[in-house]
Amino acid sequence: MADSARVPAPPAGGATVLPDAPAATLAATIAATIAADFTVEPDPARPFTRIWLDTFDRRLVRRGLTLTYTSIRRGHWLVLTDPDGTMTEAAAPDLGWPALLDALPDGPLRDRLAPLVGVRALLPLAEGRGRRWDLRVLDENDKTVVRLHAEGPVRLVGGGGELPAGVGLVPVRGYRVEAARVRGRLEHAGLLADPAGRAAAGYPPVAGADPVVGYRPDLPATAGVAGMLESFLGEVEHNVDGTVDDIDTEFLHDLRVAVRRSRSVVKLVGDVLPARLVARAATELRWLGDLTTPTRDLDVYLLDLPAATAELAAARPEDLDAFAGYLGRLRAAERRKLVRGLGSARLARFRRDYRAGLTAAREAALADGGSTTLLLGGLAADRVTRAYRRMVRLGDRITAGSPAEDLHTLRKRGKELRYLLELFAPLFDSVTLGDAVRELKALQDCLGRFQDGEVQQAAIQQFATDMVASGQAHAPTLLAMGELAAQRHRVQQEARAQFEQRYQRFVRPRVRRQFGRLTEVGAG
Amino acid sequence: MKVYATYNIKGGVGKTSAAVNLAYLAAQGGARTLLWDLDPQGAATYLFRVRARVKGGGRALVRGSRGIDGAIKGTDFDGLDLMPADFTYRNLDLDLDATNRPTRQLDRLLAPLADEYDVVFLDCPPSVSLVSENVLHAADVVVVPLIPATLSVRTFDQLIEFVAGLPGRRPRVFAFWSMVDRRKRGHRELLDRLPRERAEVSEVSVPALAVVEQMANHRAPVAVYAPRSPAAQAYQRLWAELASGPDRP
Ligand SMILES: Nc1ncnc2c1ncn2[C@@H]1O[C@H](COP(=O)(O)OP(=O)(O)O)[C@@H](O)[C@H]1O
Ligand SMILES: [Mg+2]
Repeated sequence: MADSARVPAPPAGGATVLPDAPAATLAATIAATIAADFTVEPDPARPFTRIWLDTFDRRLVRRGLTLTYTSIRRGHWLVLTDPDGTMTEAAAPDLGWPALLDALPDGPLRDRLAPLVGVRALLPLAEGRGRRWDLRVLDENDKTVVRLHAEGPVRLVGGGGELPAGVGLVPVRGYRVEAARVRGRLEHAGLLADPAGRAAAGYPPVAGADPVVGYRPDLPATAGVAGMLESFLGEVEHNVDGTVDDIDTEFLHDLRVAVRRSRSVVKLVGDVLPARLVARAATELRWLGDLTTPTRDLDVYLLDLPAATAELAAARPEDLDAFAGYLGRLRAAERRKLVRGLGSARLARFRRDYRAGLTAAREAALADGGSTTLLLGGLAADRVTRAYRRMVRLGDRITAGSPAEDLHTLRKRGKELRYLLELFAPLFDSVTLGDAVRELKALQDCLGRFQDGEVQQAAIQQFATDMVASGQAHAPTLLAMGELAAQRHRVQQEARAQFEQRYQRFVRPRVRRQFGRLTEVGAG
Repeated sequence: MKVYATYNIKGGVGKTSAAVNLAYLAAQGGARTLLWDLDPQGAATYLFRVRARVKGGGRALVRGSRGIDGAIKGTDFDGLDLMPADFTYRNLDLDLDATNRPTRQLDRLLAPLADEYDVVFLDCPPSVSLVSENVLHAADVVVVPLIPATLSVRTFDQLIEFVAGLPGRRPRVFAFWSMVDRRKRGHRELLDRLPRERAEVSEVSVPALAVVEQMANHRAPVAVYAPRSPAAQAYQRLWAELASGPDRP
């Protein structure tokens, strides 16, 4: 039955190599490989251009997935490739990159990407050109049961070299068995491409903030803490451009996380660093935090708005359009200040001095290495234990009648404890912190909902007041905003009702013991 | 998700031909489309080269032990899927009758697909039955091919009456002329008159042409092998009118 494959034979050795030759050869080889079970119907080879996409933090590549945007025959296709070479395709409009997920066409592909990509933008990471030969694999009724894309080598734009030829497989719904059989044959013949490996070869390296030092318990504490702060500074810098260009809201979020972590380190273990360095860092990091807060708050309102709108009971969704517009204008104004601050001489100076100070402190500590030096393990255990005790002291005093302020303070202490646990996690590797971390997280979530509910209620009231004062709100908008405020109130109430139970789980003997065991690690 | 059903109590009037061609055009227009071949004869299934077999048969679907999700097949055309026919569909009435809501099972089976498809076509067997009642409940638009003959006008009027008497939500009825022969005076006369007398009757007609019959040889929609033929154009006009119409009366 091999002769039923409607594909030209591979060119004999020494034949002229046509531009199509690699794809054509591949197609012929494929046909020969599966000819015993299926017929193969090839389309003519076509040139394509391809853009490889991923988020800034490589959420897809890290899962072995590749996402591409391929333009071929006047059409555009988004293709998600699994580690095993299986492709999910979706026809797409003419899109520009970077783009948010909203810009992608509705459908199974976007549904699969949504939980992975979230609010992050898809960035173009590489661009290439090649030729593709599409083949349809037919059953005995001449029904297409599998589609194959045979591709010649792909030349990367910008001197990035060339990606090797390969075959991709697009299953047809309801023909799983056939797809598996074709895959098996192609795999056996070594024809299936390793798309992730293929693509990753063409990606620019992630300019990430790798740890500056390897954290070990016997590292001098000063060197460990300075190294951490250097990493966080790297993380801040890493996210500046994306924030300034407003690629997606995660750049600012990640930048703020790095600032917040830095502030916690400075506050909780900064005493092992030179006092002047710490004092300036505390001031400048607070400034940087404050600089970024208004824009982030507005990002959060805007990101939450669709869900809140969907929950409206009496008001109509469009009643909130004026509110969304108002938030958007506020955000644009706040962003201008933010961008100015991020480009300021003050920040540049601080970055330079701060990094120099941290590096000097770290190198001095490593060079010294005296036997009296405080070690990182001891520091970590000591501070975590203290933070836990401080939290419990505070929490035990909270009753049903306690003011909201007390819960907010408890949340702050809890954040510090969480940061410490995260920072020193590599040191605690040997200890099971499972319950401790889980219970802390659950408690913090509860406290977070309590506080955010309160803050957002107040903010919505303030927005409403301002909109009325500046003549930007009509009654329906205000009524809808009233519903939003009520939603937040409900969230806060629910959180308050859950608090006691969450807290009791957090202080139960088993969790206390787990925290206690950390001290041993530090000592040993 | 918008549900269209091609329906007529008579066989051989062009229901399947319309369902196959319209579903193809819907998919070509970018709508994620599903065609469910409800006729145990499996004509639509054959035309898409798919095997007429559904695991567990009609009974498993109606009893709820299997959803239709697992039985759907991709066709050779982008955006167009097929729910195949199965020979056991001939017992569907008995199976439906054994459930506690015998006229609402199609509704239930289609509900989980609402996010997945923009357009669903139901290609119905020719009969008055529980199956057709299910179809009339599930459909937003009932598409009725009419042969230009006085008798078919009478059965059409009966259908309109039946739909008007349905409890709850009612589908829009949309009729078009099928297998028209303009050389016949009777055809011409009815074609001119009826659209003026019945709001449900469209002026679009699909002529009787050999190229439509050839679908069985090509096993493909007309537009695939004869894209510029008058038949392809007629289905195109029909789809344009259907797609732009209101959902319900
Ligand atoms: N417009 C037409 N011109 C010629 N033959 C047609 C036309 N429409 C349908 N046919 C043929 O008539 C027969 C019955 O059509 P079909 O669409 O299967 O009707 P139904 O589904 O109502 O039974 C088929 O052989 C089909 O090819
Ligand atoms: Mg039929």
